Amino acid sequence: MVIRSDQLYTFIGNQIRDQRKALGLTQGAVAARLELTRTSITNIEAGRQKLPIELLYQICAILDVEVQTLLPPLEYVEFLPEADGDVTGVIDRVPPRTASLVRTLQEQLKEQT
Amino acid sequence: MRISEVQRRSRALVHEMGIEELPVDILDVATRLGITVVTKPLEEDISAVLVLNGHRAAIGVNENHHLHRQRFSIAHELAHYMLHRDAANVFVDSTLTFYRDGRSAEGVYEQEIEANAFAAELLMPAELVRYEVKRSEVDIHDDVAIARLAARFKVSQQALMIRLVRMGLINE
Repeated sequence: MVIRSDQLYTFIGNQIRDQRKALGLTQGAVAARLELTRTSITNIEAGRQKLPIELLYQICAILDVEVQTLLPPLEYVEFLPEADGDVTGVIDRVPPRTASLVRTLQEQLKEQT
Repeated sequence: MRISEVQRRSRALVHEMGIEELPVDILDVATRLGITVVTKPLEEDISAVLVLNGHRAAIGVNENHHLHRQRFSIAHELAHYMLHRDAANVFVDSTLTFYRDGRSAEGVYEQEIEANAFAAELLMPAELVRYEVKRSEVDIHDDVAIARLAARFKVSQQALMIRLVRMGLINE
C-alpha cells in the first residue's frame, strides 16, 4: 500500500470515520464533545480540513484508540516532490486529475527556467 | 478593479494583437503572450487551470468540454494572467467553486467577474459584435440567427446572449 503525501488527510479522515462508525457514534456526537460544528467533522473525515495534532489526540481520546491507529506507517507514505509553498494548499482540495495536471505544468515551467 | 478598467485592458490586448477577424484565434493570442496551452481530460466541473512560475505561465483546459466552452475557458485564464497574476500562482476554475492558492482568498468572486468580462471582450470584441449584428441584420429574438452568430464567434449561445445584453443590444 502506498499513500501519497497529499492524500494523508484523506487517509486519516477515513480512519477516523471507520473508527467512529465502529463505535456507533454520530458526527454530531463527536463534534459536540470537541465543541466543533458537525461540518468540521465532515470536512476532517473527507480530508478537506487539516487537523492540528492536538485535535488529532483529542479525537483519539474520544474514539478510544492510540494515535498510530489513525496514522499510516511511515513506510507506506510516498513523498511527492516539493511543490511551491503557496500551492500545496490548493492542490489538496482540487480533484486528482486536475491536481496532477497542475503539478505537471509546474514541473514543465520549472524546467524552462 | 472597475469593470470599465477591465474592458479597457481587454480592448488594449485586442488592439495589440491586431484582432480584426472572426473567430478570434485565442490559441494564437496565448502563444504570442508566451503561454503554453494543453488540453487534458479533467474532472467534469473543472473548466481550466492557470499555472504561473515567475514570468512563465501555462494553461490546462478540460478537453471533455465543448470547443466553444474551451475557448472561453482559455480566454478566462488569459484574463487571470493579465489581471490577477500577482494574486496567486495557481488558478483552478471550476463551475462549482473557484480554487486559489493562499495569497488571496478574498476578492475571488470579483476576480471571476473580471475574468469573465475580460474573456467576453476578448472573444467578442465590441466593434466586431456591433458590426456583425448590423451586417447580418440579426433579429435577436430569432434563435437560429443567434446560433449562427454564436458559431461565427465560436462561442456558446449563452456567452453570446450575455454579451449582447451587456452591450445593450438586446433586452433581458
